[in-house]
Amino acid sequence: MKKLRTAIRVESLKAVRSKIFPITIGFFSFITAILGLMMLILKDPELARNTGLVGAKAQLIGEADWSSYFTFLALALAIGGLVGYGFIATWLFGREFSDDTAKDLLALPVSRSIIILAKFIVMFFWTILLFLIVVGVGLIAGNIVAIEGWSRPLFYKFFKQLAVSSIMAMASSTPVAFFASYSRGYLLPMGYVVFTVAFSQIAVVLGHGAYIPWAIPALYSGAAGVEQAHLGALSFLIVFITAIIGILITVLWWRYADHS
Amino acid sequence: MTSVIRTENLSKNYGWLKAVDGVSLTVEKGEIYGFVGVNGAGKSTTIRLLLGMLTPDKGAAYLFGKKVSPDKKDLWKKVGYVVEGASAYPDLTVDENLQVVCSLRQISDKKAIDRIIAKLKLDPYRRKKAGKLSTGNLQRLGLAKALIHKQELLILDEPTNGLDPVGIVEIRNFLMELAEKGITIFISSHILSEISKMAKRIGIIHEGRLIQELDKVQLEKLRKRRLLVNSRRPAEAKRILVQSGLRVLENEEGNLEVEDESATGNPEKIAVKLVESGSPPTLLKVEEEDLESYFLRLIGISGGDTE
Repeated sequence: MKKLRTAIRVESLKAVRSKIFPITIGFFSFITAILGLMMLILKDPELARNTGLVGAKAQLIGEADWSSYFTFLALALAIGGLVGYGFIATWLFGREFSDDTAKDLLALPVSRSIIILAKFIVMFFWTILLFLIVVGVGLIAGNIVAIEGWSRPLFYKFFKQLAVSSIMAMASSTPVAFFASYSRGYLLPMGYVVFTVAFSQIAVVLGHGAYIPWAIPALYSGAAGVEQAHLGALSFLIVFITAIIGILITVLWWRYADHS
Repeated sequence: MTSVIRTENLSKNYGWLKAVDGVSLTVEKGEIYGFVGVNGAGKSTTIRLLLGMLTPDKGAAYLFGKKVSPDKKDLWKKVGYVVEGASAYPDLTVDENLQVVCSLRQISDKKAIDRIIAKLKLDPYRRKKAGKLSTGNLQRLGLAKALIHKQELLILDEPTNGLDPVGIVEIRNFLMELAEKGITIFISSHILSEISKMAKRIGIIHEGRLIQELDKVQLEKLRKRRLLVNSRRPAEAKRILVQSGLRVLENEEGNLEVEDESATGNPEKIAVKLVESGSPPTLLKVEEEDLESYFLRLIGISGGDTE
């Protein structure tokens, strides 16, 4: 346990000191603020047209209330999370190869499995931080825009939805770590992320989204409507199994692959 | 006594390529073992096999009598290493990179970082990000990472790459100091003059095979010696030497070269002979083949006086 704590501390230092860390925070804050701006446009389309925020002929659909805003945020975390968290996993594991530091992790008194586990834990906390930033910036933007329809029970309901969407997006991103390790770089894992996003869109259209791990977070967030947001236990199990498989194959790869 | 390093028929293939082919060697405590070979000869693959980064296809490697495996965490406590050049986390400072190593190696000694920074003269750069270091200082940081703990074995792959001549001498002296304290050093390099200055024993690897192992005494015996001679009357001097039964060659500089042991072992007798015959020498010098020439001759590459 002490070794795991040490490895987490080391991985946290490496993550926090990186350029990617503030970039992800900035990116998620920006997306959330843009969604807040959309609420402003929805709330007062005339003002938006007059100030040039949207084109004169633009048609905007949706209600400018907290419920819609939270749904947008949940969607951003589910789909944006799949890409953003995939990017984090790609960087956490791929950087060891692009910086040529992987070899320094292979013959240490701390086992490779502990180091890999620490990387996944840091990834988890990183995504939790991004989720909290989305919620925090969302609340600030919503209050600035003065969106209507706020209620505490509504916030609690959506907070849970946002959290679950985010965690599921993170959980379904764990295989990215394997692809980053296996390919010793960034290209294959990012290709995998693009594939999962595209594949999950097709799966949702065909009505099989509830069985595809990368589509499940978006479905849960309400992206495909309220009916599809009610997922069975099997969908949660599929995401859980995907997460476990992702972690397991990454740990096994680091332990048994030839590091040449 | 158990050897610090022992390999038995160690082999590793990459597809059809035999990267390491049946290498068996031993390194004893406190020894500096120089591992020499051209690029692609199998040096780095052997080192990765020793560090458990690769699984051998045949044979085995043993450190301190224990079979190498990534799971032998206690084994890695005793080993410091640099593989295929130094590397560090570019966004972390020199200090932070060393803190990372201290944490992962569970070094509780708070002064360990200060000590190694002072030893490797990294003090002016300790707050500088590793990504901004020069190649030489990055190499020093890599060595600092390998040397920061109380290691019993150092496995160093090209440790002086990128260092300036002063740095090379500093590192050489430091490594020799460590060997005197009983630390075993397995060092690979293509700078053969460097290896010959510090290694007690040398292993020559070529096309994956360990083609020769020799100690300093054996190297002395195997090295070619030649007597270089010149005179104001070189043609006359050559005639006298040939008359004495010696095989004389003329090199590109116009000097006469004699490899016969009777001449290289007794240059004063040659001098007397030349003086007596009225062709006193203007040059009389016994030249010893260096490790580089010996190595090239051994693997049959031109430039090494292949016969």
